[in-house]
Amino acid sequence: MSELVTKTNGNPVVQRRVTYTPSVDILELPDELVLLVDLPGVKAENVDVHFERGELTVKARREATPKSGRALVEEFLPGEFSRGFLISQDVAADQITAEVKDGVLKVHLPKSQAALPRRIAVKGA
Amino acid sequence: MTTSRLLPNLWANFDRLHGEMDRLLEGWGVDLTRGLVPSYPPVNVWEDADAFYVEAELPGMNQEQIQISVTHKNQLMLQGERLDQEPEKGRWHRRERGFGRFQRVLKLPLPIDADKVEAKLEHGLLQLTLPKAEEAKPRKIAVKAE
Repeated sequence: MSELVTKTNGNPVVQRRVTYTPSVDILELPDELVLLVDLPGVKAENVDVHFERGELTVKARREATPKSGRALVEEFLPGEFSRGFLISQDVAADQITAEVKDGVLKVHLPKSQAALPRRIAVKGA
Repeated sequence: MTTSRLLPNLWANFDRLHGEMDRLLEGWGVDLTRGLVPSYPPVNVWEDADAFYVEAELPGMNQEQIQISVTHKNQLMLQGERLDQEPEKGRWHRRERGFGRFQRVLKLPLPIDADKVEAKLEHGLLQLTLPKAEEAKPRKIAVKAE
C-alpha cells in the first residue's frame, strides 16, 4: 500500500491507493481459452489487456467514489488491479477479444489453427 | 449463510464466530464492521449529516441476484447468490472467483428511513444511500437571548 500526499487548496490530503491482485478463473474449451477476471467498480475504458510473447497482462483502474462526511468502515480502496499470466498454449494473438460486463472482464484467447486437435486419417495398406 | 466452494468448513466456523461476536457486542453498538474475519461482500460505509452510504463489491451479479432489506430500523441486510457457471465441456485451469450464497448484516449506529433507501448497481459495485430517520438527524437548537 502506498500513500500519496497531494495538496488541495494548500492543505495536504493523504490519499491511499493500493494495487489489488484480482481473482481469476481460467477455462479451457476445445477451441479457446477463456479468462474471467473480477474487477468490481471498474469501467471498460479503464481496463488494459495486453498480450505479447505468450504473456497476457491485465491492468485496470478503479476510480474513487466521491465521498462526503466521515468514513465508518473501509474495506476496499480505489486503486489498480494488476495481474499477468504466461499462456503456454499456442493462441492466435490477432484474434484475442475482451469485454467487461458487471465488473467482470472476459478475455477470449482462440487457439491457433496449428494447436487445434486434428483427427488424422489412417490409411489402410 | 455464507458459502464458498473453496472453504466450506472454514466459512461455517466464521459464521459461528460471527454469531458469537454479534452476541458479545450486542448492546454496545460497536459491531458495525463485524471485523476481524473476512465477510462477503466487502463494503465501505460512510455518513454525513443526512444519510449513511454503503458501497459493496459484487462483480458479476445483476439486480435479480441481490436482495437488500432493512430490519430493526438500523440493520441493513445484503443477501444474494453468485451463480456457478459450469460449462458443458472444457476444463478449469484456475478457479479463484468464488460462488454461492452470501449474507451480510451491517448494523448502522442510527435508525434509517427504510422507505427512502436508494440502490444502484453499476460495474459490479452496489451503491446504497440510506437517509437517516428524521428523529435521528442532528438538530440545531436555537438559543434565545434574554
